[in-house]
Amino acid sequence: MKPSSGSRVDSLASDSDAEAALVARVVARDQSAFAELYGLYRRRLARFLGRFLGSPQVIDEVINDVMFVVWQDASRFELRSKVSTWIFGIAWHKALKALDRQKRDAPPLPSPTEIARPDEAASALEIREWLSHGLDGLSPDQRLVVELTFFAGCSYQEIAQIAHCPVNTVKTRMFHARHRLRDILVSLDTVAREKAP
Amino acid sequence: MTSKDLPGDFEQRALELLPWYVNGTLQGEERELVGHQVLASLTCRKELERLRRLHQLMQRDDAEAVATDREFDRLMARIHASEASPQSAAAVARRGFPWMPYALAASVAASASALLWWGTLTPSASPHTYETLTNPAPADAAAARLRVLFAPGVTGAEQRELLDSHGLTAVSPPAEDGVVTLAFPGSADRAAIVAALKRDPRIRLVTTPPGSDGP
Repeated sequence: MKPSSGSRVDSLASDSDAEAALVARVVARDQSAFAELYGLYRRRLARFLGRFLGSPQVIDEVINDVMFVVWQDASRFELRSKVSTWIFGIAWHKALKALDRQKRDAPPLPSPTEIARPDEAASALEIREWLSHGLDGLSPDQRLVVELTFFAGCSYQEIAQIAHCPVNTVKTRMFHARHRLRDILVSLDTVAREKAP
Repeated sequence: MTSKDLPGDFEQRALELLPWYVNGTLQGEERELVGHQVLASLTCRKELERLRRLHQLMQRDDAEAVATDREFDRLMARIHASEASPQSAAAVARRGFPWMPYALAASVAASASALLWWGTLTPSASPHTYETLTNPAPADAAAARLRVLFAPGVTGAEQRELLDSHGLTAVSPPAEDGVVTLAFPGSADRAAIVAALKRDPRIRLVTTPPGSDGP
């Protein structure tokens, strides 16, 4: 079987080139390029960090810290990785620090088993809440792999760069994450079947 | 794929790689392997459907309210303050600019000022008497002072950068309502500093306490 024409991969490559060009302009202290890069990443970072950090204020602070580092260290960015890999790597590093600070005060989260399985009448919102609780049951390392794969669209090689671990570790963490989410995935399957006309 | 691999091995490898087949980042031989197994294996097809559903759910918009402009202004104010400070100039100089020696000299001065700022926050090191908004200024308040209230969400690091950039020194810990009393540097253009602080989005309030010889 031949690989597809790769339009998704081509599109990712051109996005990546455009972002690398923006970073090059940021190195030259072009504030409009920085504003553009900020606009591209602000929402993605908010959503990514929102999976790990509860408070919107903490999320804003961490985004501010991340983009501050992007501005300061733009000249150190190497084209060996994608801009998104670099920025999400910074974000993950900052998120871990924020998580450490939060750990003492955070109330315990309910485990996924305490959340009722959505029935056939479940709304999309209920299903997403259920999934969200399932994701909360993963370890931070497992969750990072799941988020970067399904939310940020990273390859396993990029995730290994961001998490500073071997690619096989990424695959192992995904394996365990999928195992822990298995009940949810199967139930989503059932709900989807029951909701089908 | 090698000739030594058994069919079950192909399926296991495909199952392992499915998440990245779903997000479109798999390429080359691995993409071919998974594509082939999805056609050949019911287990792979079922798992592919589940992961696609997970992918769709996680991609959906959270419809969050993002105060992008305000946050960007805050970030740029932090960057400008950082770059206005000689410490940052030294950092830029380290990247190879020709005025490096001057910036490094300025960096030393800024570091000294930063140490003073931290020193004033340490009660044992501070000779100042703490004051509150309701108490009159202490007798040694001959130096020009001002009071500021930082905007919500401004971190301690940002506060320090901002104060350093103007050469301001805290002379008391924050009051209950968050107001911090600051001393101007000796030879500063006080009106210019107050005007700059009033324009800064990280500052909510700037006042000059009664009895101070500030602007």
